[in-house]
Formats: sequence, structure tokens, C-alpha cells
Amino acid sequence: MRINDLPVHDIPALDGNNAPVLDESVFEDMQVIGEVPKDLNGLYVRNGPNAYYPPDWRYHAYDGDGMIHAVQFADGKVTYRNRFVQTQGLQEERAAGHALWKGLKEPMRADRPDQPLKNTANTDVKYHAGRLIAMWYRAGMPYALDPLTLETLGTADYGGAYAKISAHSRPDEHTGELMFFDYSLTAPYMAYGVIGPDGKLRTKMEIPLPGPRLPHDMAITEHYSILHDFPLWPDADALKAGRYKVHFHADQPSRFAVVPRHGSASDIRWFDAKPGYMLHVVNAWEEGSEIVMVGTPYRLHAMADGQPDARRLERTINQRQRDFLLYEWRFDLASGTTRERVIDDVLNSEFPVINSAYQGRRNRYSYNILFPQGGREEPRFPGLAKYDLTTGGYVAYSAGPQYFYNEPGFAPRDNSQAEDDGYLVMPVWNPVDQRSEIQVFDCKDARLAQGPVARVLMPRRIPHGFHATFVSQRTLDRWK
Amino acid sequence: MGAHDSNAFNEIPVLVGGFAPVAQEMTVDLTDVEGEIPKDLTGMYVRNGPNRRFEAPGRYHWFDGDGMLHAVRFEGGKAQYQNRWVMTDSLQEELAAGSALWQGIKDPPRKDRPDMPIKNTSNTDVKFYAGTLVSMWYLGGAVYQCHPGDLSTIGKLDMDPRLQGLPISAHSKVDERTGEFLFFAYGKEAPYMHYGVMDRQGALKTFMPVQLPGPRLPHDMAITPNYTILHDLPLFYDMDAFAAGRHKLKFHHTLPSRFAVVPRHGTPEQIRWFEAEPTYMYHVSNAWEEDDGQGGIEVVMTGTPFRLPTDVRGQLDVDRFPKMLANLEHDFIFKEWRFNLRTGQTKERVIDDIINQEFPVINSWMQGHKTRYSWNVLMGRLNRAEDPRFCGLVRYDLQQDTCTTWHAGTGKWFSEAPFAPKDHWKSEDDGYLVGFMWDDRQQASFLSIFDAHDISRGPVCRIRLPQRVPNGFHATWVSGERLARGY
Repeated sequence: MRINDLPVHDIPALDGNNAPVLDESVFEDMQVIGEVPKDLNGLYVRNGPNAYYPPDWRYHAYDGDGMIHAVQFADGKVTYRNRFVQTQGLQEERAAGHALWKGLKEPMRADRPDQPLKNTANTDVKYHAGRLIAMWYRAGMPYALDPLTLETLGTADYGGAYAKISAHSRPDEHTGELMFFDYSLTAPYMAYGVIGPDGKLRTKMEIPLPGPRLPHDMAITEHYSILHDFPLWPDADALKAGRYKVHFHADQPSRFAVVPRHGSASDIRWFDAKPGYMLHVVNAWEEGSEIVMVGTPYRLHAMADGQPDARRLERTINQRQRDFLLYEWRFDLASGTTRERVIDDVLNSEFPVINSAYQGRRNRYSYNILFPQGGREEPRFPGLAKYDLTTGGYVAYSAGPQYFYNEPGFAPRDNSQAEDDGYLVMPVWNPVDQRSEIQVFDCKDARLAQGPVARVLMPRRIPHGFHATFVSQRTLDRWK
Repeated sequence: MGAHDSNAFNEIPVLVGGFAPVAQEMTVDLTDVEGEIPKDLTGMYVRNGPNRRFEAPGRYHWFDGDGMLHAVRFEGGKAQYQNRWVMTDSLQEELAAGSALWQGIKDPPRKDRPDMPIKNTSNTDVKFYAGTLVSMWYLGGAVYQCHPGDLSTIGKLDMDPRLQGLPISAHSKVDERTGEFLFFAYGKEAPYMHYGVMDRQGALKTFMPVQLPGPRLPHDMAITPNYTILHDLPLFYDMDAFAAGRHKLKFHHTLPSRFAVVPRHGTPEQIRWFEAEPTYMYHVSNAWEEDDGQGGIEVVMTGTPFRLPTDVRGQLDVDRFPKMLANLEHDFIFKEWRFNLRTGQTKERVIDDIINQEFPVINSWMQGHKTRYSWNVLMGRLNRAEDPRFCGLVRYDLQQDTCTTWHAGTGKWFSEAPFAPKDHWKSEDDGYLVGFMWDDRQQASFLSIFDAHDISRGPVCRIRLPQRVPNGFHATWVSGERLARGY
């Protein structure tokens, strides 16, 4: 069993709108409630699991083959398109005419040390230098796709720059660079690098960690990258016994490596912070001598004696419960110290999205998915919030607790004048009419709370999925 | 995270910061205004809450403080603040003695005072009835009347002899279309509950026992023009402990929730009992009557019950539920019940379980009639035991079935914000939400006015108050029109 297995549990991952769709289609001229803004131009793309062969194993929601759903907005016209990511694993399976891998809940393929578990490329999708890059949460070789046809162009190995990367690599649309990291079972346990806009490896370095870790995301500023070492890792004894069990070490700090984007291993500055664990970063930026990073860590509850409840956090993570808050870290490069604070812990929210033009630059707004206040249940993504990071204030909207809002993309309005001058775009599962819709929300000021300005009624379901990105027409044009 | 920041368990959270009592009574014209006070807002906002006068030995609970009314009057774009203690019998006794004579609910009741083992602080809710502000207590007791003009206490509401000693619950209802006062009282002896209606002159028009299976802890009731809904919820005493004279709460999860639907001026024989999923609820948002489409009447009630706590396996955590109440741990959902008078069946549905909210308010003229909107207070999770947080506002639109939420950031503490209709209002949400807000960072209290139609823009007006208004309980809006009319 590999170190970066995430804990898995039973979920009805093939029911309702989790069920895969098998057609690869193009839909146009859908019925619209409201009006699709004409100043919304660009491409929304979302990745997600979509099993090609009907699973005959104990299916886990993360097992499905990656499928990209894309929505092109052009002068009020909407075109939808979906295609599988033609991964090496899927191609082998299609040649064989049946599944060759099972999933997370089954034993891995001992005969395939190169790919004991199928790299489905089903987790995140980013736009880098004219291509879509589909990535996998357990770290694998990413795949490149044509942004307009969604045709798989092959692996995005950039001439052998790496053997695999994590799902949450980060492009900087201003420079055309792609910052990536990888993590593994063996020392030095983590690597970091930068691919240039020309597709050439510009920087690569080892990030030595004290042991194997489970970093999920990274952050970038204009000049720095921030890598994560949280005190959560698999129990070594359990691993030896072939079992997988994460442990949270509340007596250990969280550690963050701040490294110049194009630095070397000797430039790494380590900052200690309070123990915690986080999946996704909102953003990071430079402010004076400080590197500021905002994200949505798990809420760490206190026990009766005031000490953090490590067992509860482990349970929350193991059982894939959602219990998050919004948090800020400030790493002072001058003094080497960390300051940190809760921005908000009233809402339970995750899957943060920002205006991608502000990636690595100081920003004010984060658009998050709302979750119910905890408890063990099937994942629901039942609402949206627009956060003001400066105050922790927000406006939130939900059409009902059984609606399912996928991770949105922030689409800047043509000639956008402000950070929030644009739209949120995403597929939404409408439980009342039992159909998928593409919904468009106006983000300016508090308009999100007014509900969608356009609802594009889809002729066919778009299954629930993971991460998404929005590529503005301007960015698309730049790489034509 | 967050949890690390507050290890000060040696402090009593509900006596410090925005909770600390104030000593001064004052009347001050308000001039420090951000934005503009709406000129079409005439009437008074008044809020009740605990504000202990004398420090008592023992363990303080947030519910223990002496009732204090804080009011802001509006007319012609001007505002005035005023606050006064409710001069309860017990507070007068304590003032005469110069010290506290009762301890709080965490300590033993006074055995030498069978008339008042626990002090009736009259600190919970306030309504406008019979030309006066009526102040009420959550455990039930005498109702106090105060002058709307200067908040001075007139005395106890003079009641029909049949009601002597009957503990009137805090959440009695005033039907502002008829001027009636509809109340319930609950106790530890059979029949365990009474229900009654006084007309606007104070005459007792209806009074009946409501037989319950045992002692219960109903907190609220609901009314429609023709019916009243009373609550028998399965969170009440551990009856073994109760038999031994101890008051220990227990969630009796195998018992249903029961709701009595009774004609407003009916008789005990007309009570219809409806069963529903076990739960516990403090506050009702509203109730109304609907045609069920088959010639029957459906009585609809909306409210904010607790989210049932679950253990690590996702199973109901029976033991934790009563602790949540004791710990002031707030985790609520928004729910609807439908009691079909034709079929005797109950239908229930969760309106929302995403946003944790409570203290629902509606346009009070619409009480008992079908409402589209409910404005609730956004609740935060505890940072430490007994540290409740009122964080912002939530607006539900039951027609669109949507929910919008507004939050001003951490360190701000809101109050129940009643709906204040504009003068000559036309539609249900044609008005404002008016409420106090404590800003911990600025160490100042404000009166916030929101556009009820669009809370997401934040307050359209903020008025700085001359002193801190301690975090408190319930509030009411009395329009100029109602003040003039007297009900």
C-alpha cells in the first residue's frame, strides 16, 4: 500500500447524480431561464470521476475515470462539451474491452508497479500555456487536453520534467508558468518545480521533510512558493501491517516551506505554525516582509481541558466529514516568525475559488462552497458564499439544502474593473426538477445573494465532480 | 485552530465583554449616525435581556440576570436610546436589602420561598399588549407591564383570579389584528399545561387545561387566526431523577414530538394531537392555515429546532442533546410541519440544514397568516463552553425556497432583529430589520438598520449607542401606528 493513499469509506458513489454518463456530446441552444450575459466570455472546465466500465468492485467515489465537462461562453451563446481523459489506463482497458484496475477499496495491482492504482487524472484541471492539464489527487502523470475539442493530447510530461505531480499544481496566468509539487514515500519526500510557458522545466528542487507527509495543495505568490508539511501522516506500524491509518500529531507544529519561485533547496525558509491540516489554499501574496497565505483548514476542536482534539480531527478526515474554517497565516521573512488567525469560523465552507488574475497577488474575495455544519452524511455541496477576506464577512446563497453546487469558476466580465467584477459559473444539480443546470451568478458587491442571473437547462445530467477552472477569453486568445 | 485561542475557562464568558451588565439607566438622543436613519420608520424597537443588578454567590448562568429593557425610538429620521431595568418584585426586594437574595439556575432554588424559589427576572421576551410593553420570563411567571413612553415598570399584569399564580411563559403571543394575548403556562403538576386568551382589555376569554403525559418544557407556541398550536416535545426531565427531586434533562428519543392543535377559543375536548419526529425546539417562526386541496385544513408551522446531535458513527447521540442546551451550544435547522386536520396526519420537511440560525422574526402583522419571509439570526459555533455567538442575519424566502446570509465578520454580536415595517408599507418585506450589534473590536454597541428586502448589502444605517447594550434575548418592534392604537 502506498503512502499517499487517502482514507476511504463506503459511499453510494454511483447513485443519483453520482452515476456516470457515457456519451461524449456537444450541446448548444439550451433553454435559458434569465439571460446569459454577453460580457461573459471564456471557458469553464471541470474534472470529475466517471467510470467508463460499470464497476464490479467496491466502488469508491474517487475511482472513476476522469471526464472533463467544458462550457464555452461566447457573446451570450453557451456550448457544452464533455470527453473522457484518455489516460493510459483507460486506453489499456478499452483495448481489453473491460476494466483492468479496481479501486481504492480493493487490493492494488501487484503486477503493475508503474501504476498499482489507475491514474484516472480525475481531480483537478488547470490551463497552462494553451492546454488543459488534468491531474490526479494521488499524484500521477498529468494529461494535456485541447481546450476547445477536449481531445487528449497525451501526457504532460514536459520532456521528462517529472514522473508525477500532485493534483493541485498552480499556474500563474501572468507569467505562463506552472508551479508543481510531488510527494512520496521515500526521502526527501517532496519535490517542487516550475514549468515555463515554453513547456521547459525551469526550476526543480527537493523539499526535504522529516518523513512521509500528505500535503494536498500548495500556494504561490509573485516571487515565492509555499509548500506544506502538516503534522498528519500515516501510522508507520499500521502501514507495515498493510493497514492504513492517519495520525494527527497535535504536539507537532504545522510547517511551511517558503521558497523563492526559482530558488534552490538552500533558499528554503521553514516557518512553524499551530498544528492543523488543510486541503485547499485560497490564495497567497506578499505584503511588506510578510508572505500571507489564506486557506480552509479543518476546524480543530478543543477538548474539555482546552487541548486540541486530535482523535476527532482524525475521525473527521477518515470519515470524509466536512468541518472547515477560513484561516490566515503570515510568514515574516524578516523575523522568521509566523502570525496566524481565524478569519471566520461561522460558516463551514471549502473549495475556495478566486479571480485567477489575482493568483499570487493580494486579493479580497473568495468564493466557497457551503457545507452543512457537520455530522456524518453523504457529501452535499448545498450553497455558495462570497467571503471578504479582510473582514471575514460574507454573503451566502442557497436554493435549498439538496441542491448541489459544483466548484465554480470565477469569470471576469469583459473589461472587468474590479476583483469581483465578474461571474461565478458552475454546473448545479437541481433536485426539484432532477436535472443539471449551468448557473451564472453575478459576483459584484452582494449580488451573489440575489441568486443566478442565468440558468442554462441541460438536456443531460452532469455528474457531481471535483475541481474546476475558468479560462478567460483573453487568456485563451493569448495562447491561440 | 480557533480552539487554541481561548483557554480562559476561569472567566465566565457570559459576564465579560459584550455580555457584561451595565449599571446606568439613561435616555439619550442619538447623533452618531453612519448612513441615514430612514424617515419612513416610526415606532420603537425594544429588546429584553439579562443584566444582573447584584452579584450573587454561586455559578452564574446567562439566563440568570435581571431583565433590562433597551429601546430605540424612531420618528422623522431621529432616534433616541433608553434603557431601564424591569422593576420586578424580586429586584425590589434585593434593592431594599442592598444585595442579591437569590442565586441562579445552577444553584439550588430557595426553599424558604415557595412563592418564588427561582427569581422571576422577567428577562426574556417583550411584547406590546394593552397599550403597554409586557415583559416575560422563560421559566414562566408573572408578566410585568412597562410604560412604552419611558420604560418605567407599571407592575404585574393584572389577571383574572383564575390565573392567580399561574406561570405565564415567555413566548406568549399578541395577535396585533385583534389585540388578544394568547398564552400558555406549564408546570410540574397535572395537567402540566394551561392555555388561555385575554382580550385587549385584559378580560380572560378562554382558559383551559392541556393535559400532558407528564411535566414538559415547552418554550414557544404558535397561532393562526382560528387555531393555537402547543408543544409537547420529548426533551424533558429524567423521570427517575425527577421522582427523587432532581431536575436532570433527558432526551426521550423513543417518544414522538406532539403538537396540540386547538381552536383559539375552543375547549379541551377540541384539542387534536399530532405526532411528529422527536426533536426539541425553542422558537417558532410562524404558523398559518392552508386549504389541503381536498376540502380540509392544514395547519402549517415553521420553526428552528435543534439539529439532532450524532456520534462518530452518525447515530443519534441521545446523551449529548441535553448537554447542548445546558452548554448553550447552538446548532439549529429550519423546519416545517403540516398538521392536516382532515386526515390527522403530520407531514414535516427540512427547509434548511446548512445555515445554523435561530431567533426567527417575521412581519408581525402577518403572524398567523402565510408568510413568505423569515429573518433569522445566524448562529456561530461555540469557541468555549457557554459562549454563544449571534453572528449575522439570514433571510429565508419560502416562495423561492432560497436562503441568503449576511455576516459582518468575526467579533460582532447581533441581537434578534425584528421586522419594522415602513410607514404605509405595502408588501410583506416592505420595511427594515432593526437590531443591536456589539462590535468587540471597537468596543462599542450599535443599532443597525437593514433593508429587509436585501440584507446582503449590510446595514443601511448604523447608529452608535451611548453605552454598551449587553448581549440579550428577544426584541419586538412596535410601530407608531400600534402605539397610537394601543394594541
